[in-house]
Amino acid sequence: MSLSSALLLVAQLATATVPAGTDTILAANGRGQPTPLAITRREQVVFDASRFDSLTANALRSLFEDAAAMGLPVRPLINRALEGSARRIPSDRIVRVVREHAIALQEAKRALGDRSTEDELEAGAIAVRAGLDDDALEAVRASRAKSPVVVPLVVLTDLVRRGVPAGNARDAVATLARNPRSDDVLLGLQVTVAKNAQRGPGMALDALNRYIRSVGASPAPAAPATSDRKPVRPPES
Amino acid sequence: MSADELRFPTEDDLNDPHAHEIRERLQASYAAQPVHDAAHMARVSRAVLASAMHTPVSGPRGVRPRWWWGAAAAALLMVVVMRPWRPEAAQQQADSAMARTAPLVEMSGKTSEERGGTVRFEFTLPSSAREVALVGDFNAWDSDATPMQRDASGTTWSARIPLEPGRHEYAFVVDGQRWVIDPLAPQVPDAGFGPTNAVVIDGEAQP
Amino acid sequence: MTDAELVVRTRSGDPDAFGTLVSRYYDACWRFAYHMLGERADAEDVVQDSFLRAYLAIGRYDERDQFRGWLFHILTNQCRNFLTSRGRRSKRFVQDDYAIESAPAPISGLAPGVEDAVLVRALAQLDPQQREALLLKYAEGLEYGEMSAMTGAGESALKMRVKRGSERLRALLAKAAERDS
Repeated sequence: MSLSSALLLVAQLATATVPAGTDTILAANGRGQPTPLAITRREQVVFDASRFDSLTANALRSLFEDAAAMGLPVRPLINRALEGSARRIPSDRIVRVVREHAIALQEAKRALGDRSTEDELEAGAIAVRAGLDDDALEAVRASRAKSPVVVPLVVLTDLVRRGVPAGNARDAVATLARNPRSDDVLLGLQVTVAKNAQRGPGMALDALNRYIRSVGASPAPAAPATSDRKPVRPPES
Repeated sequence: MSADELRFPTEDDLNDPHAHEIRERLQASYAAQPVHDAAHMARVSRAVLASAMHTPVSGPRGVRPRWWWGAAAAALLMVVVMRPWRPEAAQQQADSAMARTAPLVEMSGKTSEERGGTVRFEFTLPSSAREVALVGDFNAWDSDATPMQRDASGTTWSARIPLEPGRHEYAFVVDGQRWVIDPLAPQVPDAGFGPTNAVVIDGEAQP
Repeated sequence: MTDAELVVRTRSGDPDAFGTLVSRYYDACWRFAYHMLGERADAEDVVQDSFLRAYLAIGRYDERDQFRGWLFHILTNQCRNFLTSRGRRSKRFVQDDYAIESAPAPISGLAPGVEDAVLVRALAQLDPQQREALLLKYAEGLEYGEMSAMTGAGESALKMRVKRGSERLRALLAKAAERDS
């Protein structure tokens, strides 16, 4: 792929994340339009087509364009294609996985709403792929009016994978997430369940119940008063 | 191993002229075996579940399970699995029955945000590795982009990279080919490539 | 439902999911165990024990591995354990042709059908490593790479065992056929 066509593709993708006439938060990189609250603007990712044979590159480009036309974020799809190539996955599987991921993004957007950030949609798509249904995603969305729900979605997905039944996981996360500052508490739940899940069947749910009891069902744990950045995972307890 | 197993084999040695006949006979015998009915299988499941209820769960609470013993013990377990016929290893085999088909490597990882927008990734491997690379959606999953540094202990690898706020996916590539993840960090389930880890970097605007 | 989904549900403590996994793999496990151990009751015990160990270890199953392969790894280990301890408990005349003729009759209650009892008794006379290699290669259809991962032996050693085992088995079967004719 020549440099100029690569640049053209990047430009197309950049503008493609600005579907006309919608309120999506993904809009307006560099256009100077006002952006709603609580956005994360992500760097664009270049689709390095040289990593693929031309048939595959074309198939992927079509997928990206279709996704953009549907108002879906393209960056996660490009990332997935690049991951597949780095892992030396056969091309047809890469295309299939990217397509399925686009479908999951679409479902996540339906459940989480048009105003979702790219990260929320991506986390939602992963949750969908892990088997969570629209009710679960909607419950998470409803738990926080204005703050991003990325961490709740990530934690919910992980809990279910460790063996917590979906209903229990959804209720626990939705309850804890009501406090917009509860990301650390949610991540603490994730680590506790992950450690205990290794010990045998039923241990994951057991650990979840104990953790919920120990932090109290009330969604207002005291947040440490500090201006330092929080660690990404809470300290080992 | 018997003495002639140690002799370097020729192609003739490895070629079994009776393969077809023996295979047919074995497969016919397999096919002729009785199929167990649903009631029998249900009895077996119930018996397993009942036994499991009475099996004490090992490991102190809140700490890694007892079978994660660290490098030396994991290596010893592997040696035992490799030599299944020594009678004294019979008891250890009972534990090794729980081992995966792939080598039993216990890993742990950690991520922490530091000042200035960099994130430190740490990854511990109990077995030795020549090189470990951090790959993720921040470096196009390129295993040459972010090699990790080994610390003095020889088993913990780390790398520091600038990461923009938000959600990222990552994994570790060991010795240029084996993709592994931190078993306790949030996982992104396998969709056809293999699982990865997810991390969310703070810094999003709060209302 | 895929094995991976059943595993996730089993981890949640769903007994039906585990029951489904058992029904999916019981016969395959039993066939191997029966040919490996030579006795139906022993095969049932070892298979049940293998499922129990699988259940207890289900939190550690990595879904990147095939479930069947993971389960079979447990099963082959259990079969080996069983033979080792049985070998210590009782003397077996494994090198003696007498064993073929005097082996106990199969346990009643299962239809005799066209089962190859001679084959099973002949297998019982093989060196256990050879028997295991033969079964994994010819009956289970595994590749040598998979067998190596499962048993810990190198591929050349495994090929040698298959060849030796196959020769010996053929000789035993020929002898039995002669005697019967």
